Amino acid sequence: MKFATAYEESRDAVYGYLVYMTKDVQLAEDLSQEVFLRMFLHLDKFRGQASARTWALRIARNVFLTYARKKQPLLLIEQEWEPLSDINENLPEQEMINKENAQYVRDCLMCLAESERTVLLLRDFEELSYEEIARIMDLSADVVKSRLYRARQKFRKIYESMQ
Amino acid sequence: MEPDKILLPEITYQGNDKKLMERITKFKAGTFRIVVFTIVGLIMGLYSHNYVSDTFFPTKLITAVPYKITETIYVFLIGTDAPGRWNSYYCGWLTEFFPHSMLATLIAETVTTMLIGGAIYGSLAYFTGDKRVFTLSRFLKFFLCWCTVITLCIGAAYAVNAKAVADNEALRRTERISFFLYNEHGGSSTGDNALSRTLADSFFDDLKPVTVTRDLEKESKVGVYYGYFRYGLYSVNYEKQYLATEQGKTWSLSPEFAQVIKEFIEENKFPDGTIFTGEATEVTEVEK
Repeated sequence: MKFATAYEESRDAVYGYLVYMTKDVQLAEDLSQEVFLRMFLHLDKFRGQASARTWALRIARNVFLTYARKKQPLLLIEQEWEPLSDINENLPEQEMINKENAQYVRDCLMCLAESERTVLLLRDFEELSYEEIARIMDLSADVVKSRLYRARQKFRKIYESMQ
Repeated sequence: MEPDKILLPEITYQGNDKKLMERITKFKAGTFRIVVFTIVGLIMGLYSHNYVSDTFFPTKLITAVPYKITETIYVFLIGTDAPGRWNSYYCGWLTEFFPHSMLATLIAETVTTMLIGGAIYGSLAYFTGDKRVFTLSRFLKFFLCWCTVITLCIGAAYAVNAKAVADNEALRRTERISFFLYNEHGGSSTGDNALSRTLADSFFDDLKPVTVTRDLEKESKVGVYYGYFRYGLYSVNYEKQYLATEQGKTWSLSPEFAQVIKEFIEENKFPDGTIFTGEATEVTEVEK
């Protein structure tokens, strides 16, 4: 597979995953660059057993975990709820609502543990199958299902309680 | 769609592809540099032993590095007493590292030095690359690969030499065989068609393991070239008609072989009746 194809296929997925995982756009961009570079360096190891997106997300998770363990261990644990920071008031109303909502969702996600956040993102944001998620997280599909169920419950609880 | 799915807002990549392309370009350039430097290093390693004849100090120093590292490794592994002992018998035909085997010597002196040259210059190129791409951990992997290859090469040299030594002990014959003799005229080497031919013809006659009490004082050194790649040094007692290997195994000799050795050592005579003048003559391989 050519790097350009793999890159196009996985660019938004990797970036989105990292934005949700770090809640920091700039950091997500830097980590994405690292992921894409790793993809380029190890393209020969990609055997096509999974899709390029699944492979990229697996790398993204490893990059995120390495970064978080070294630099920001707080990203791995459930965080306290933080009130929304000010959104630029000059934005049109609808855009402002969207931005507010996106940030609200990200904040809610940060209240989940890393593995819950990951499973939720991979299923509901990346729309991967249970098997693909299991491959990325080195878990069985059954464990993924039960963890996803718990993560969704928890997310809803946080989301509703904070509104 | 799953009923309990959580709807998360879409996110599109905002990053700059230029940055990534820049890193990839740097990686490609760095990799190319490593390959070029490694090839240069391999070539420099190949000619590293020529440092002795270089008269310009800076290039002498640069060229000498791979060879000196190789020498340090083998001297460390083999020890320093063996080279001196062997040098006195070999007239520089074989080198000190593995005097029994030309192939082992080639691996030790040339191949190992080439690999060390490649490793050194490849590593230099590694450190000139983009630090974000060519990280220390990647360098360690690169270096570990080189160490493995060099270790395997050293192992191969030892294995080839061990085989040669075992063959020497068993006096395993080859198609071509020639001899080195030493007598009071001190010619460190001598050889002659007639002499070599007669020795080769009679060497394997009656050759079988025997148990004898060795008389070390009356033993003479005889070197045997087996083909182009193997050399064995033996102690021959022409009076008792035995040959002792380096590890002390004794073999019986044919009377004819012992007679030729005796005539050469005592009377400086070749089998065709000519007299050895003490001048070293070329060794000629004789097909057996």
